[in-house]
Amino acid sequence: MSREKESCTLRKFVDEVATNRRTITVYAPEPDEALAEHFETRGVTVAHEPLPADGSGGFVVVTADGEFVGSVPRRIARRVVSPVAADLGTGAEKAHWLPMNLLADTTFVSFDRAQLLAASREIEDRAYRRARGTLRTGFQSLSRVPDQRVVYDALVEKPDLDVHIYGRPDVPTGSDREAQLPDATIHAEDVPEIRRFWFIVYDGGGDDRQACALLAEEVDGDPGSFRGFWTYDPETVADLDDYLDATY
Amino acid sequence: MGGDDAGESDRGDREPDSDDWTAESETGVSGGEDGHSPQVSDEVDALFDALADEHRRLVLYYLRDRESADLDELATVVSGWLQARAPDHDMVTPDDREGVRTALHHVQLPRLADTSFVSYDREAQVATLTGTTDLLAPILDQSLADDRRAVGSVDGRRGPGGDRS
Repeated sequence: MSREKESCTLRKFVDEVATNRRTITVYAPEPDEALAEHFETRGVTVAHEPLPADGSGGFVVVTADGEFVGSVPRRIARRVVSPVAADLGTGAEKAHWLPMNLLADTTFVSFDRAQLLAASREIEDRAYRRARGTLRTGFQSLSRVPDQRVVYDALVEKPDLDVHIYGRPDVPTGSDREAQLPDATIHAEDVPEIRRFWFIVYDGGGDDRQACALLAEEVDGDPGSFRGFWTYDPETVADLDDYLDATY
Repeated sequence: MGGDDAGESDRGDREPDSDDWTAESETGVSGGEDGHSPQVSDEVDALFDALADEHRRLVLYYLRDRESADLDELATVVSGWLQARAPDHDMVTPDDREGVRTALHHVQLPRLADTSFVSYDREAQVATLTGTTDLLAPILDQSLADDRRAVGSVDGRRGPGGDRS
């Protein structure tokens, strides 16, 4: 296929995040050793700026190449280091995920398939709750779709949510597949990056705060192991969305 | 804290004949009407006006330890700090920060520059603490102490550690 030549453009996104390192600045009365250690062990530079004690505990600012990306209260950032039960579940206190993602997104991560599924579920859940916009999910192989049937059945029921599913066509085309998810747009693409990358991109449905994406490449010679990132940056999400829309 | 004994050494530059301004500043009472130095009490009034707004108060807190800061830095600090002082769990987006940056540049920093405590170079977009901090220090200390009580009660607790200093 003519696309083979440019087939690894998704990798450019991963490479860019890997090189476009973020810096975390903790504005607080005292240096926060726990936060610093957490992020420094993940290759993120952490700086401290003293702040008079006003009882708020201060805040944490994330920059990329000197550009402001976002900030969160330090009491929230601390929960990345010591999550409370509510942060780990997929149920209550959804609001916490947004600031958490800002920080999670500073980390270039390795996933196994279970972690990918859990992270994907968060993004799917966000799309479900917002019920509008565009969700693009790459399952590597379309034969994986039936496992996600319950979730995606619910997603395609949202009339204002546009669901696109990508994968290698390893299931019979036609009625069977169409019958599974009649309201989703299926992109059967037998190209290397679609086979290698797991992705899920939600454009936020008009709200940049809700935009998020996960992109991970299966590691050569280590099936089931992935390298990639989870981004909350609306620009990166939009770039991914545009790329997938234009290419497949 | 220790702000109460902040020296009066520099005060003489601007108001040589009042000895009462410290007490007045702590009660927030303007001394102009009852015969005390109108100039100093004007400054105290200006300072309380500056402190009345949370943006301006945070700028003063931040400048106090640094003397000067540029607009970008102040926008980052004020937007992040406002969110930290709020009871919810939201994050600050680049748009939020831009809104604060605009307000600082067009309203809050010029207003602070109307006092004798801060100058703002609109061209270079740098705010600088000017003159003596003798009048400023005890009032900011008191204001911070008030904040610690108020912010600490927002959600029934203080931030996680680091509040003492």
